[in-house]
Amino acid sequence: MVSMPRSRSFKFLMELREKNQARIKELRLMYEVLKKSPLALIGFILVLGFIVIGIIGPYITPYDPIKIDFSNMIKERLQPPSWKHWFGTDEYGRDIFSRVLAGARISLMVSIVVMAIAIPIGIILGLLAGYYGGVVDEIVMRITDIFLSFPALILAIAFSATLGASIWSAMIALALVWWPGYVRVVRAQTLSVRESLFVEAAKAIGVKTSRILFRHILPNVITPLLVLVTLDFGSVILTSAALSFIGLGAQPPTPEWGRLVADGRKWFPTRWWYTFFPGLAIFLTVLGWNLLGDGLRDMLDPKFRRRLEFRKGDTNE
Amino acid sequence: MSDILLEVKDLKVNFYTYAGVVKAVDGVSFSVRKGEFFSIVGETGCGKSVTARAITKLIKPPGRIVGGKVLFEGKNLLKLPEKELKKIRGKEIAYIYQDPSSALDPLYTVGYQIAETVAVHNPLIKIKNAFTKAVEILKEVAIPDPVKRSTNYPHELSGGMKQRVVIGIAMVNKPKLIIADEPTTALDVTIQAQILDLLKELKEKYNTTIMMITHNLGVVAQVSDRVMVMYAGKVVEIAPVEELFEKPLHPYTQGLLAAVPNPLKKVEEIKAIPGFVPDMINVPKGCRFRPRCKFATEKCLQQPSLIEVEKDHWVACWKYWKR
Repeated sequence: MVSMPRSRSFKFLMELREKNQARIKELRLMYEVLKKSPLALIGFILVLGFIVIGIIGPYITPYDPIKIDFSNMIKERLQPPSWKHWFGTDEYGRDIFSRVLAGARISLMVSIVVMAIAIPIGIILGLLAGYYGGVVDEIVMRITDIFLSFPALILAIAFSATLGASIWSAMIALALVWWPGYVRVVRAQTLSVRESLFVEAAKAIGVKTSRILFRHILPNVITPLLVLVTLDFGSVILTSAALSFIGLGAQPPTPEWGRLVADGRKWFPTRWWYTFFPGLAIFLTVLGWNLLGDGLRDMLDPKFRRRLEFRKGDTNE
Repeated sequence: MSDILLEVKDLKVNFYTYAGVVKAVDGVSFSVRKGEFFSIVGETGCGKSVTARAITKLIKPPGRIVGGKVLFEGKNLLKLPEKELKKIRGKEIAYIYQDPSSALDPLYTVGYQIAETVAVHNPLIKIKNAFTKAVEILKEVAIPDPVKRSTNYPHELSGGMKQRVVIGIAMVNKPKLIIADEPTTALDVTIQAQILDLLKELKEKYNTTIMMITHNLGVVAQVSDRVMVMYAGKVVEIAPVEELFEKPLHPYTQGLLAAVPNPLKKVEEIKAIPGFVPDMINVPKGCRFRPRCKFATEKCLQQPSLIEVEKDHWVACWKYWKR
């Protein structure tokens, strides 16, 4: 009697485990890859740290990142790193550590907004071009080619200069230059998945075209897109920092990392901490995304996985 | 003539390739009667599958249907708008494919895929609620432990089981016509027999009609009522199955049957048909089998049309026009 509920919950657990067998295997494999590849793990930790700071950063700053304390400004300005100010202070006596923490929020927001605009455009245009082919494909791909023929940064500069310098116009400009890469990836994958028999089979049971595109083709093309997006998160952060650096992105007093680097430039190299710490933040974040992207690619690449599975099998038996 | 379910008249499908126009199906006519098991036999590339796909306009570019009619219960499917066709596909006419491993979407459970087929044709049913139906149909196609299997992904099932699932998907809406495109080719012989039995059994149970495409004469003999033989995009002979095997009329059919080794007789040499299947871009003038036919005459430079030599036995060969 006593063991009844326990055995029941045990049975329930077993059932749950059986039901999600495929998913559990997937997670275990990811864990194995992360364990085997320390770089991917470092990337994962850096990205996790970035996201956490991006979310809670503005609430945990030791000092106000924006407001200038005029009463102590002269005394506090351009102080080197100390226990009081870990990353030193800027020319208005503001704590650079606080500003860098608050800046993570901006970089996170920029990259998410840019992706949220660029990915859907890329997916929809890529699916349409790849699935329909012919004239649709020609039109979409030629427009894409035009966008791709300019270096992303130059085009983004042109867009945000036209839209006026602000963090929002920088986001729109980046989204406008970022979608063509996704169109290409999605289209190329769609071209091959389109020929699969299961797509024809779906058509043969009378499934609507939109459902075929989003329910049957899209899930089968998402993997390479996921890798590319992860790698691109770093590039978006870097490019938005570059836009702010040349004065086209975030405007003062917004604590944007690129902006901080630009502001600290005139005090460099004697007051090195002013540029160094924001620069380090950019560096670690971009590095983190790139390492994670590489790791993810390995994780999702069947060839690499098979190698790993074999290796695992060898040691076990 | 009310017992005719599907009538194909003078169907023409061309493929526009870089090398030239391939007339994959060139003036094919036949009819399928309600409740029968109709087979189409022919070599690879003779237009069997293209004919099957053209029936519900599933031909992909560069292929195009350039002529003819497909009358299904009196409606010309080739003239119907895409929207109406979607209602017919999977509901009235269902397909079974050759390779069950690639005919199922790898990312969904088989139960989901059966349920989807139900839901697509029934806007009131959500896919989630159609799962009971999926389990029912899996039981129907003799899959053991259907409740558990319905939650499996295609890669977790064997080839034979996958083909049963594909048959289940075809059957779930109780279509009037099932078009099976080489349903047993990808399976080994013992499973083949099981699948054919299953098809036959389900046909009787649901009173549907099956049109099967195959290149395997053994499979044809096992299940069919009537057989159509195709060669290079044309129909050469249509006959009831016993007639065709006992008294093949067209030289190609004769050659085809002679080329099948009989397991009861030890033969020194398999009699292959001499020559090759014609290049489909520059097809021979007149009868397409002429270059390989030992009975060929002057007259064969013109295309013979099908004539009814005996009741229900049609053949396209000048040999039988003499009378």
